[in-house]
Amino acid sequence: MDNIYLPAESLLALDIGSSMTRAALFDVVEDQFQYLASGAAPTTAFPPIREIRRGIRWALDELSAATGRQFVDQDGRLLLPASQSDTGVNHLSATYSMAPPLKILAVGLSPDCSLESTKRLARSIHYQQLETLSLDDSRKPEEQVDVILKLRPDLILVSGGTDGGATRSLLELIDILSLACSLIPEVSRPPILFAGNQTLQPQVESSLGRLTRLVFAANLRPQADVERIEPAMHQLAKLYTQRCKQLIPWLARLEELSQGELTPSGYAFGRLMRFLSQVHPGRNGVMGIDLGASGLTLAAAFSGDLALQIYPEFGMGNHLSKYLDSISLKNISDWLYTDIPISFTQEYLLHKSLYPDSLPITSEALAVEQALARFMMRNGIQQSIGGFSSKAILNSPGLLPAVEPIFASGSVLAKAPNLSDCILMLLDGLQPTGITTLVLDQNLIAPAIGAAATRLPGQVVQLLSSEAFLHLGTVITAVGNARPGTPVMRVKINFDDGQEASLEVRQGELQVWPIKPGQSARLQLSPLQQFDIGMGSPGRGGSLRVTGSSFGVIFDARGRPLYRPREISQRSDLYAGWLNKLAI
Amino acid sequence: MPLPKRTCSSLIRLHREIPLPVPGKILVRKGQWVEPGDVVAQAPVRPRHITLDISRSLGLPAEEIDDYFQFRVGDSVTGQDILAGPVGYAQRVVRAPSAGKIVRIANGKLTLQIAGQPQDIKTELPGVVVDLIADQGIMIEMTGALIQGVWGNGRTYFGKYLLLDSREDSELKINTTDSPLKGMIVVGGICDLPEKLKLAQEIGVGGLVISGLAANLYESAARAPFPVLVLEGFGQYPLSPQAYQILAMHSGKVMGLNARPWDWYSGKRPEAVIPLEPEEAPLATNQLGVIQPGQSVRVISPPVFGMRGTLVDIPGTRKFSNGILGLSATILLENGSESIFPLANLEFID
Repeated sequence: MDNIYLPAESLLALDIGSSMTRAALFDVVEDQFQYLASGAAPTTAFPPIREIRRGIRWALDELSAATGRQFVDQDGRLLLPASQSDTGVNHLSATYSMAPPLKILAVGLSPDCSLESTKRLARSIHYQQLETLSLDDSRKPEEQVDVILKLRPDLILVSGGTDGGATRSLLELIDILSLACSLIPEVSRPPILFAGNQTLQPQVESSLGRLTRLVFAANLRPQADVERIEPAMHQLAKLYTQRCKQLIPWLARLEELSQGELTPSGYAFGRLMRFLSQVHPGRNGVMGIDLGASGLTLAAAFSGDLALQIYPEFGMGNHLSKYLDSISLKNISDWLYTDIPISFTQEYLLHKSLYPDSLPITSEALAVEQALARFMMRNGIQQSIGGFSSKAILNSPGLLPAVEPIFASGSVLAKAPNLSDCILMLLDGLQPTGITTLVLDQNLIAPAIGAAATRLPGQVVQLLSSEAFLHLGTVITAVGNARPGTPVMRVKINFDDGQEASLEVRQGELQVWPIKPGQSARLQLSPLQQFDIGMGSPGRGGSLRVTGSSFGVIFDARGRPLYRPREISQRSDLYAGWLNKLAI
Repeated sequence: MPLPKRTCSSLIRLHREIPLPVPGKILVRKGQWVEPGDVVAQAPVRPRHITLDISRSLGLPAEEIDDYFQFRVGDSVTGQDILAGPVGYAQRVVRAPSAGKIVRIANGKLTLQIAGQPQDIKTELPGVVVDLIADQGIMIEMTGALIQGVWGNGRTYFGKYLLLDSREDSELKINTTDSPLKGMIVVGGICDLPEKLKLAQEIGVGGLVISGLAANLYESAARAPFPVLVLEGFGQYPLSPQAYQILAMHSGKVMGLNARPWDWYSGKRPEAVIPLEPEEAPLATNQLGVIQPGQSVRVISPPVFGMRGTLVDIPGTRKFSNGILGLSATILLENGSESIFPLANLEFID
């Protein structure tokens, strides 16, 4: 891909987050499409300003100061397309995640099957409240109507029935929706996305089409044992943007400027993962995790099949207080590696929910935020694995399937004080299995380039292998049963310059072998004790070529699930040991 | 860069909206003075629906029943009105179970919408009506003292308040002999024991305004049957001198307590308003405060959460002792020391 011809065209990527608005500039330099610089400013969608332009302008001013390029004219209009090399840009992509979460009504036939798929579809956008309707609902139809009238959903998602299968039950649910919609004032009627039995489209059209905006998408469950969420995800992202444009002034103008490429950040992030899985088709899937103030986004793509789940409740921002109300604080403090009073943890997290933009400038505050990040990632992974593509290879039930690479984004990770903190948060929170590489979106540009991937695919491929993303390291995880301290893997390393090294990895250990950027080496991996190291089956070894990165190769034999002593002093000692190994 | 802004003002003109839960009827006019408790609007309670299976009741197939309906969609009926029938020798009929409006007739079934009694919407603040927002609500202008907080449990109350806090000891002082507090808004310092919340409930206080709430009481406070407003934060935070001065000056007067949760999307914060005689006062604005030296700020993150100070300058991006990078601000703290904080760890005090 390095030799691909790329016209000298620049891209300005705007990402309007719930906390920060970022403007990133990309352009062709020395025949390579490269990330040049970013500008960031607080998002101004909320009071007292209530309009996004000011935050965008500030971010562009910062970008101008960093690049010497002018992005707006004297009247504050974006200079599109570029007129000179230092004025304006050729392309604009825009992503957003600052919209207020929506109220969704998910409708499906059976709670375990189609309704579950509908809920998974709903998870691909930011929602605040989810009401469900299914055949198993014990409420009378008129009570269900009253529930819909009370909820006043922003969107209704419907699925159910296999293509060509039974129709009567689903039509009964459609009838309830029809009555409810007819009782809602016309201007407030929610749009409906129908992703059920495709043979029902004419009846659904005649029942609902005259009442509200009705969009059809491919059946989420075309067959009982086949789930296809992704085609409907695209339609839902468009509907979501449609709704957000009504709520947020100037978003519609931004969509015009970006030639229709205004995309919800989570969906753009997912699109990037799917794009990667198509560009690099292999045995494993590709995964991305974005931990931000507005939520946790998890996207896993396997040969083009994307599973995208957004969890507002696992964000580091103002959804936190509600979530804390529903869990035991011990679940979070168990992820601490220093002794911090529970009262401090509780106070800090409650204040963090009030002031999500605040920065942790004490060691205690930082420890609490990093413990929270581990907990949120762990929860997100556990809840989303069930929705991964059937093409995913599960090494063990409940553990992350084989994915490579893993892209990590979000301020808590990218802005961690040092890379050791960042990689340990990722290893603890995600607990990868087999062999993978960890890539850090250090400039927080992944959603923005995901939005541009369709229009500028060649450019995006170049970006992904550029220094815009930081290759943290190759992680080789050894999974099996053995007493702590038992050797579980032997490794021989042959560097390209002829140097050799070998090491033994013991159960419970984290080992690091540095391979600097620019270097490469071949590893000969020999598992012991029938441990699974991701070479196809337990006990199977093999050779692996690795390239240099920030940490080189990390051998993780700390257990899956990760073993964490109950005693904080023991956890603290362990953590100090791991940090020591990573201090290279 | 916009920072969160909190108002603590001894005299200010305020605009406060009284929204209707559903579109309804406004009963006041522009320029009218309203007192707490006045009914300013009526909103219909959300109607409920019942579906009657006429086909089954009359023993006829759905496709043969159309001629037997006595009303059409959109018609209003009273209780006991015959909806359908008579049918057969027995002259079977289906009567309306109560008054309502027919919203649907389909497949032999009839759906009746039963309206609830209109709900009176009362104002909880005195003031003059300055705007009527179609059938959605009204806007009231009032003059008073305003103290905004950081957290509320979603409840509201209007009544007399009493300041129990003394500067020397900033704990909330409330005990079983405080029966005169029944129905009053109790304003105190730090609430750090569950017994205090329990006592407040037993006494039957109208509401609680506290400077600090122990974090482990968060759930109890959230579920308290009376409004709880936290002014400073979760932990051992006494009342600020500014808030104390205002609250002490007017103790015994009435207070409008709106302990709504702080909503980022609308910018509305939980607050206590003490209505005062109308006089010249600046209008509260939601405008962006320009960051400039001399501005009053409050630190909103450890290690000195809650401490107030004055902005000295903004030296730019800085790496803090634990390695975190952030745009920074130099603050002259109220204890006389000068420190640097991330700008994101500050809020303006108006």
